[in-house]
Order: sequence, then C-alpha cells, then structure tokens
Amino acid sequence: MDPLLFTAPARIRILLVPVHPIKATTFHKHVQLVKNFNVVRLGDVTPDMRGVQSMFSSQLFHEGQLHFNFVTSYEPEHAYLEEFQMHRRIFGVIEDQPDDTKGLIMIPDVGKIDFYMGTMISDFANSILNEFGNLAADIERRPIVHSPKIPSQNFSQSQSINGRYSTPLQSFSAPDLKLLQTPPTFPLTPPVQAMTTSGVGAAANISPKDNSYHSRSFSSSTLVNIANVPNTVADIKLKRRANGRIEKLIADLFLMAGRLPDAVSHYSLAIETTKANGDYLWQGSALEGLCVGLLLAAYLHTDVGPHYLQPPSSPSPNDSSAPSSPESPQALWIDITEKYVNILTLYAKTSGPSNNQVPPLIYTEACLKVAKFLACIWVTGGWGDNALKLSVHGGTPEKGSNERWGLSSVTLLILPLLSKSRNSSPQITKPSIGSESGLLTCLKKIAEIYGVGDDVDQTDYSVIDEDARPLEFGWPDIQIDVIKDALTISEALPDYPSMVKYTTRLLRRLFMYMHRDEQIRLSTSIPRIVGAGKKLGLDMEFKYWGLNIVKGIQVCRPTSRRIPYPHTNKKLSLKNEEKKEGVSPFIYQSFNKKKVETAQIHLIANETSYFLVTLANPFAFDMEIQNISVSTDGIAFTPNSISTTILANTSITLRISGIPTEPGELIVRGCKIKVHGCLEQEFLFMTVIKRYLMSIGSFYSGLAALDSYHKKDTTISNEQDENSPIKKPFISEFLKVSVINEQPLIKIKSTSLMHGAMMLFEGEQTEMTIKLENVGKTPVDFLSLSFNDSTIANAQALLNSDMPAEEAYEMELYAHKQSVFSWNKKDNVKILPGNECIVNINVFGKRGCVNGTIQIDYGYLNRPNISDDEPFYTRQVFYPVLLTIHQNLETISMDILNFKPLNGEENYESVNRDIEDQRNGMVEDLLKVMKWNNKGTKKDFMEKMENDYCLLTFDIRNVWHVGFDVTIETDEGEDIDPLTITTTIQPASTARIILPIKRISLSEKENTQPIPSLLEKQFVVSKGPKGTIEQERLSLALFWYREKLLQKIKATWESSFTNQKGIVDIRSLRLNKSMLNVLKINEVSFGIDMEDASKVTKLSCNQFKCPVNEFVRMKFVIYNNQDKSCKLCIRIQPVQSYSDGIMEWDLSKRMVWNGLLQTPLPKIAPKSSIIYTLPICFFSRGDFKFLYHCEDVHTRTMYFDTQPLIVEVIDS
Amino acid sequence: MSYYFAIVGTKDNPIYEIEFGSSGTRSAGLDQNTKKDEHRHLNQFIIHSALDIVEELQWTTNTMYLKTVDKFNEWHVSAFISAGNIKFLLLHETKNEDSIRNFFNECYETYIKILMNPFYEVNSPINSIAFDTKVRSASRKYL
Repeated sequence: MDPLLFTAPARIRILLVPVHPIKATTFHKHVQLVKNFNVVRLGDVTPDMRGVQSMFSSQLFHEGQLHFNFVTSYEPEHAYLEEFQMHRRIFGVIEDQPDDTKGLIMIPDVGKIDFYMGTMISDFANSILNEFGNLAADIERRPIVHSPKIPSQNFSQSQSINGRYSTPLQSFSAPDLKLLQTPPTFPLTPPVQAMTTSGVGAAANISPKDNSYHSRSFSSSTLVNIANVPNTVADIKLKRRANGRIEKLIADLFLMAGRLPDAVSHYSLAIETTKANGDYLWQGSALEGLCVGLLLAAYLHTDVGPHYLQPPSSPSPNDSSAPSSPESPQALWIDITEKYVNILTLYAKTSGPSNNQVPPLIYTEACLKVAKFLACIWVTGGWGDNALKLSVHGGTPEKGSNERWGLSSVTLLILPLLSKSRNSSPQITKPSIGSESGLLTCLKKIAEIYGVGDDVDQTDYSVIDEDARPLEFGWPDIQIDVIKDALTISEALPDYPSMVKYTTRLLRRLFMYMHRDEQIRLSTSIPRIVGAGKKLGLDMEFKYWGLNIVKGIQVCRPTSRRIPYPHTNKKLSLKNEEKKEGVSPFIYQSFNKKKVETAQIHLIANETSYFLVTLANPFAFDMEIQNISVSTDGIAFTPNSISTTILANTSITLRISGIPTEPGELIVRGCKIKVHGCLEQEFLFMTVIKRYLMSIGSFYSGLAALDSYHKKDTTISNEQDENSPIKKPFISEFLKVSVINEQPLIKIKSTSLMHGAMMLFEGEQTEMTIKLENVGKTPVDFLSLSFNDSTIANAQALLNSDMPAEEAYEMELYAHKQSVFSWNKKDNVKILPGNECIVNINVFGKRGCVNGTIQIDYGYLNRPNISDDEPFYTRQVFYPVLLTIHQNLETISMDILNFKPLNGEENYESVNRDIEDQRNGMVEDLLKVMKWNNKGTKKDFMEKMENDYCLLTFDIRNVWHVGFDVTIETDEGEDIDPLTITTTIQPASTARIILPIKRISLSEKENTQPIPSLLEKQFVVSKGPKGTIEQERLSLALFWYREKLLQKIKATWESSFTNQKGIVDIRSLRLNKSMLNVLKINEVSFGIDMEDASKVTKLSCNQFKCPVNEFVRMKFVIYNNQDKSCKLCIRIQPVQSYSDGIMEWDLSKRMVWNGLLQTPLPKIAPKSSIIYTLPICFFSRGDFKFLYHCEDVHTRTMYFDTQPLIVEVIDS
Repeated sequence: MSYYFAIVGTKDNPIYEIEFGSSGTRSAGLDQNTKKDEHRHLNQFIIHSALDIVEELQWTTNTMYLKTVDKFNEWHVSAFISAGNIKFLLLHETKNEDSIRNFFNECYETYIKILMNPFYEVNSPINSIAFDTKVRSASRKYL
C-alpha cells in the first residue's frame, strides 16, 4: 500500500502472516482474496455486546467506514513512530494456515466464500474496535506522551544528546522478542478445512491478544522512560503537553474506527491544546489527521457537523463552518492545502535541536501527501468525487502515461529531500515498491526537460555508429548535475539498469565537460553496477557506452607481389599486352585516364587480407580493447582479432587481418570491438558520414527547440524505416570491397645470376634464366614479361629538352629500341601448383645501363566455368638486376672516300706520289681481301667501282685489355653475296676498317621526309632556331643516307677466351657533307667517253690520252637518276692546265670544237640518259681539263661531276 | 554582494557565465572552494529554472529588459532578452533596477559586437577575453 496515500492515517494496519506449511502461491492468492475486504462499513460491523457504551462503537456513526491496510511485512524501522501516529502500528494479525481438520468455524467449500469472508471480517472489525477502546483507555491513563525520536545506531551519542533514551535498545528490542515469542500462541487457532475461514477465524481469535501485546509493549517502553528520567523542567512541560497529545492519539483511533465526527472533534481539541502549549509537532500531526477526517467526510458525503470544523486560522467553529462544509468541496481542497501549508510551517518550526524535532520521514510524507493530493485533483480534471475517490483509495490514475509522470514528478519535487532523508536515516533502507517505477519515470522526465532525456540516445547499443559531438541542447553543467542526481537516486533505490543508463549517458553525452578522474570513475563503476545487478539476478550485460571509436576503415594494399591487376577481357588485354611496349603519343591524355591503383583494391579469396582501422579515443582515460576484428557482411569472411590499448585522447591505426573465403562483394560494416569488461559490440563505419541536421537559426528556442529536435529525429527515423531512398537526406554506405577468385602466387626460386648482378661488355648479348615456382594453390597459365632499365628514364629526361631531331632520334633509338632484356614468348605456359618453370631472358649490354627490372605478369586465365568476357586478374613479380657495362670497342673517325682513278702500273704519273702509293696499296689490299665474285675483268671491276662504289673507312679501337675478333659484314642485298671481314683487334690497338660500299641513291621523296620519332610523340613545334632551307635539306639528307648506310653494315665482336659475343656499336659514326657527296648518287650524273677508240686511250675514269691534231668526239653521257624527267642545260669549259697549276682559259689557238659549249639539252626521261657529243681537235699538246656542269632550267640547280675530265694530249 | 551573470542561448545552452563580487565572509580556503562550487551549481539551477518565466514573459512585453523575473530565497533573477532570443540573466541579492538595466544594456552592446564577428556563430560559447573584461568593467561601473 502506498504510504503516501492521503488517507493512510485512517487505515487500520493488519498483518497477514503465513504459517508454516503453506505455499507461497496459495498465500498470495489468499492475500489477494482478503484484500478485497479492505473497506467495511461501520453499519456492517458485528455489533458489540456492550453496544453504544463502547468508546468506539460501530453503532453511532453508520455512514462511517473502516479501512483496512493489509500488509504482509512489518517494518520495525518505523516502530518509533507508532506512538506518534497510531495508524503505523499493527492492530491485528491474520494467520494463514494450511488445511486442517480441527476448525473452529467451518466454512463449506462450496457457496459464497465472499459472503462468509465478509462476515468474518465484520466480526474481526468488531473485535478490533473493542481493542481500540482498551487502547484508548490505556492512553488516557498515561501521564506523559513522548514525541517520536529517531533511534540512532550510535547509542552513546544518543545518550549524550538525550538522557531520556538511555535504553532505547530495550524499548525496541522488546517488541522484537515478543514477536518471536507470540507466534507459538497462535496455534490456538483451530485450523479449518477451508483456508479462508481458518485465516479469519484465527484473526478473530488472535487479534485481541496481538493488540494487547502492542499496548503492552507500548506501555513498557513508557515505563522504561519514566523510570529513567528524573523530574526535570522538561518533564513537567511534557506532562503539561500530555493532554493535547492524548487527545490527538484518541482522535487517531477515532479516525481509524471510522467515527469521523468524533475524530474531527478530538482533533480540534488536540489542536487547540497543543497550540496553547506550543507543541508544534503534535499540533501539525493533529492538523494532518483533521484534514484526513474532513476529506473522508467529504468522500462519504456526510456532515461531520459544522461545529466540529475548526480552520486553523480561526479557532471559533461557527465562523468557518460554511466554507469547509462538504457542500462546497471547492473550498475544502483549498482549505486542506492551506492547512498543509500551516502544517509544514509548524513542522519546520521544530527544526531546532529540541527533542520535539520532527522526524524527517513525517515531514517528507506530509509534503508528498499534499503534493499527491493536489496531483490527484489535477489528474481527475478538477475537484470532484473522482478526485476524492482517488485520494481516498489511491491507485493509479487512469489518464495517459503523460499524466502519470505528472503525478510522479510532483513526487519528485521533494526528491532531493527524500534522498537526503534516506541517506541520513539508515532505518529507511527499503523503499516501498510502488513508488519505485514512478520515481524512475520521473527521473526520465526530469532528464528530458534538461535535454538529456532518453531521446538523446537510443538505449540499444548493440550497434554503435554515433560520433562524439557536443550536445545540441542544454546547459552541460546542469545536465551533469541532473544526471548525477538521477544516478544517486537510482543508486539509492537501487535500480541497476537505470544506474547503468545514467552512467553511460554521462559518459556518452557529457564526457567532454567532465574531468578526467570523473570519467575514469564512471567508466570503472559500470562493471561494478552490472556485477551487482547480475547478483540480483537481473538480466544485465555490460555494454560499451556508446560512442563510436572507429573513425576509418581502409583496405590495406597488399604487398606488391600480391596485388592483383584487373584486365577487362582476355582477348583485349592480351593484345594490349603486346602494345604495351609502345608509349602513347600524347603527352597529356584526358580521356584515357590511367586507373588509379589505390582506388580499387581487390581482395583475394582464401588469402589473408588486411584492413587499416583508425580508432580514436575521445575519453580522458586509456581504453583497453581486448578484442577487435573486422565485421563484415555479404560473403563469408573469417576475421582475426587483435587486442590493443588506446591512450587517452589519442587515435591509433591498426592493421587487422581476415580471410575472405569466397569471391564476391565484401561489405565492411565496421569493427567488432570488445572494450575491456564490456560485451563485444559492433561499431559501424560509414563511408559517407552521417550529418545531423541542425536547426535553422534560432527559430525555436528553449524547450520548443528541444521538441523540434525530437520531431526531427523521429521523422528521420520514420523515413529510414520506410526505406524510401528519395526522402533520405543522405545515404550512408559501407565500405565495399570486391573479392576475386583465388589467384596463383609465383615466387622466383632462383636465377642464373650471382647476387642479381651482371657484368657485360657493351653490346654483349647473353642469356639469363629465371626459375619460377608456383607457391599458390591455383595453376598459372599465362605468363608475360616486361622489362625496364635505368637508361629509359634518363633518355626520357634528355628527350624532353630541346634537341635536334636527329639527335633525338638517336636518343630514342638508344632508349627504346635497344632493350636490355628481351624474351621469346612461349605459348602454352602452364605451371601447376608446386611446379617450377624456367624462363630464358636475353640480355643486351647497353651502354650506360646500371640496373634493370624484369616484371613478370602471370595469372590463371582459362578457369573452368568462366567465360572469356569476364575480367581477369594478373599478379606481378619483379626481379631487379644490377648491371655493369664495360666499354670494350670504340668506333671512331669514319670517312667515305671515292675511288680515285686507278692507274695501271704502266703509266703512272702522279703529283703526290706518296698518297697515291698508299692509296694504291690500300686498293690492292682491298681487292685481295674482298672475295669479289665478279666475273668481269679488272677493268670492268674498276669501272664498277668507279661509278657504283665508294669506300667506307673507320677505326675500331680496343679499349679493353683482352683482344676481340671483330667481324664486319656489309650486305648490299640484291644478288651480291655479303662481304665479311674478320679481324682481331689486340688490346689498346686500333684497326682501320675499309669497306666498299655501294653508293646510295635516295629519291627526293625519300630524303626529304621528316625525321621520324620512334615514340610517336605528339608533335611539338621546335623552339630552336630554324636553319635555312638548304641546311634543313642537308640535315635531312644526312640523316636518311646515314640510315641507309648503317642498314648495310653489321659489326659483331667475339672473345674467344670467354666465349662472349656481342655487337659493335657503329651508330656512333656520323656523316658530314663531304661524305654525303661521295656516298650519294647524284640526281644527275655524268659519264664521259672519247672516240675514236683507236686513237684515244682511257687511262682511268675521266682521264683520257689523246693524240694531237686528231679529230675526236667527246661524248657526255648525262644520266637522270631522278624519278622525274628533267630539262637541263649543259656548260662545258675546257682549260689547259700547266703543271705549275696555271690555267689557260683562252684555248682558241689550241683546240677547236664543233658545237656549243653551252646549250640546253633535250628533256631527259627519268632513269635514262642522253648523250651530248662534242667533236674536238686539239692543236696543242699538254693536259687539258674540261670543266662541265648541268643546270636544271627550272630549279637552277647545278649538277657537277665528281671529277673533272682530263685529257692528256700527246703526239701521235 | 555577489552576482552571477549568464548569457543563455536559444537552446538553453550557456554562452557565457561569470561570477563577480566577493562573497562577504571568507572562511578556510578549501571549505571556501567547495562552498563556492556548490554555490555555482545552485546559481546555474536558479538561472535555468528562471528561463521558464523568461519565456513566458518575453511575449507579453516589448521591452528587452524584463526586470526581476524570479526569486529564489534571497536571490533575485533579472532578465534581459535580446532581439535574437538570447537571454541575459543576472542573479543578484538586492533590487536595483536602473543599474541592472544599464548593466544589461552595456553587455548587450558588447554582445552585439561579438555577434558581428564573422567568425562567431550564434549560440556558440563566447571565449573572447575582450568581452570578459568589458563585462567586468560594466559590472564595476553599474553593480
């Protein structure tokens, strides 16, 4: 029963006691049954034998009611109040005994149990009323009535303060003992077959005894006090006061007996007396009783008589009778409220250190009672019968939950006081059960008002996705205070779930406003609370209190050899593989973006994958994480967990591993974290961080703002519930990772190299092997090698600078066409798991190269059940090679020479004899060396050489300390066999290589093409100074002729000692203009002949011997080597040259000629010739020189012969 | 004479708090501190509970200064409400309407200057030292 019921003082407390062999359930059933009879009309009470004479006769006031308060427990802690407030004592005991055959009153099993029960209760009430009479008589005899004293555990202290209570232990232990002793007397009760009868019967018999016991105990304690206390002034005062007090106690009894008019009159008396004595405590208490009496009277609609009513303001009954009558109930509640204000002031007056101090419980209850009374009125919608009923009977108001909290919140207004009183008086350790839930709802509501109610956090922390953020609403300091108060109250109850709730809320919401020590204290208290709760058998688990500490999850890039590289499609990508060598021509490619490798990381089924998880600890204490593992969704995943500690206010990044067991899409939801002492919980991590909507400006303020938050929250949550993607203001996503099929894994088991290093000569060609082993679980059926070396980057850097095109070409050729490594691709590679495979790689000694990398891409393409269109993945293995390249041979000083006229042994006169000698010897050597397979005569050969060939010479120097055999090969193509020269070059010596090379003719079109770029580089307008057209043409011609020339020559070297072989670099040779003139076949060339053959001897090319005074014909054969016809004009200038070098120009006296020395020629068709004949007769002997050239009539280009025509005129 | 002055934002959040004036008797240092702390909490509660009345009153008048709105024991709560619904609340022991009005007006001016700072957001705590000194000087001047 609610102790705060307004009408509690009018209730008779009856103890229900189970007797031994009864079962708890049966007992409770019976208790419920008995509780139905808690109200007995006085008219129904069995009339007493003594009739009206009895003091508490039920016959006098028929409208009255007896209210029983059936309790099943007795609170000895409040025993000290029993002398002060009569309703606190137990006036009767009803025993509940199991069936027995010996019954005093037999009630049949069948029939109206209610009826019999009613009868029994009526009888019972009668006996109680009788005992009231005895008790009242007893009280009236008393000389002194003491005020209640709070018994203190510390006896010595209480003695020192108040000698009157020298033996408080005795006074209170006595009832206890008796309580123990009395039960044996109960079995007098004859147990009956029907339980109910037995109970009532027992009560009817026993209650008087019980009552007497109480009165005995009461009197005994009084006696003790009297015995011990000497007659002091205080004692005299007490005696004076006794009258009023006795009146009050009697009134209490009247109230309980339902005799309202008597009660009211006695109370009025008591009030008057106590007021006169200044006995505030008792006056207040009497007033309280009066209020109850008035209220009950109002409830019963009986008039207690206006003359009894005495409002405290005016003692005269007649003046105030009208407003306080039940006919004007409106006034009654005002009256009661006013009275209570008065009561509280009275109680407050006793707060001095006098012995009449009000017990906190009384004061508190008074406060709460009036509060509750008002709340009842409010709940029932105003003053009226309903309100009366509610305040008389108590019970839960039947309005919505909203109103219920209102009721409890009124209760809570006095909570700090209540909790204080709880703390100070250890007697009240066990609060009544009824108010507990009300208190809790009240706490909730209070917290809500301060902005830290249940709305701010969902209580389910099974999934944590909330970030630490400052509160949007409220006053942090106050919020902390409020929650702490709530915590204290729930601790006092004790209600463990709400303790945990408030502790976690403090930590979750307000940790940033709290001191470090406090945070630590709170966090450590949680396990303790949970432990205590578990001991009580509550279903409690210690969960982490809520803030998300996972700040980021990233898939960790696997080690480079494990990264799978995606390829869209088998066929396409294989083609690309080949194309890969070439570099895209564009410097900047806007469309063809290279895939950012970090953007997508693939995990591989059945391989350990790693995640980088960033954790942040926002709290001021170290957070110990016992277990953390990645929590995933989608495909199967086996996480591995680790443990760690995050220091206060720091963040750490962990690498957590796990194995996806099948291919598909892995959704990384977050982490499963077990914070020390807590349960394992899931912490979510979204890639799009949830943004909370902030209210716009200050549209709402105060509590309205708080409401608007709640509204918003609910609308958002509703939307999420409906799963409508359009309405969502943001979409949060989990990290998604694709998991691909199992991939093979290859490792390089061994190579043919020592320490991965190689030493090569420049141009050396050799081979190395790599042994691969498949250490994975899947076979490899695709293998592709690509290479890189140190020179490429360097050359690239140089290329970007501005350099002439031919230089750039050379550089490009060097960088990209000469690859250090090369590989002969093999088809049908298949390496089964555990097997090995050997790959041969050709290595080339490239000048300037210091290191290179071999990249092996491999994969498993032809999987069963997978179509060709699906993307596939390859992995890469890198093998770096250190290279040392030594230069061994050097080609220098190239030259290209014409064959000078070769003189026969017979006629040899030359100006410069030495040179001629040398040249002769060389040619002879050459002739010997060359296994010229020309079948013609020497003359033919000479002729051929004259016109079609030139000599290429260059030096090869051996800069190494070992001799090399150098083989030079010229391949003219066509039907001529290649010419090969092998020579051994000793260390530090130089060999001159002389090669006959067929002169080259390139058409205009061929040699004016721009210099190509091997890289297909985007054309960049050259910034360098542009030469004249002639210079440009020349440089192009030089470039193309050189290319042609180099094509013909191959030079290799071999070392017989070490079996090394390689290529001699001849690209270092450069052409110049004069060499070009020799090398190239002119567009227009000349052939000279003189007739008659009988008279003229041809000495060599363009050298003739002719007798004097003979008519000869000089034939100029003009060849047009061009692809187009040309129109030429020929000019011939004969001169006579003397041996001293003087030229005689005027030759009219020395020779005659028929025809023009300067004339246009007919059009010459392409690749054909015309002959211009000039008949001549020399008059004079000596050397004549003919200078001649042709000029293109359109382009004005002059064409010269390589040598002048010399005619030696001799005597015939 | 001691005062407690608080500026409360639209979400019941304190923007600025200050206590000035010396409390009359000073006992032992430690005791003083704890007492002060307790006092501070009480002050906050008083101010917070006064907000209800301020919210009720603010629509009934068109003056910004609401005079004394609440009383708790010997404490009076005076309120001043800005155009942006920011509440200035002062806890004081003696009634002195004019000087409190002047004090509020000066604080309001200072607050507006703070508000004009582009880096200051409405409803966020004021950490400006200049503001602090100005409020203190206003308190010396008027209270």
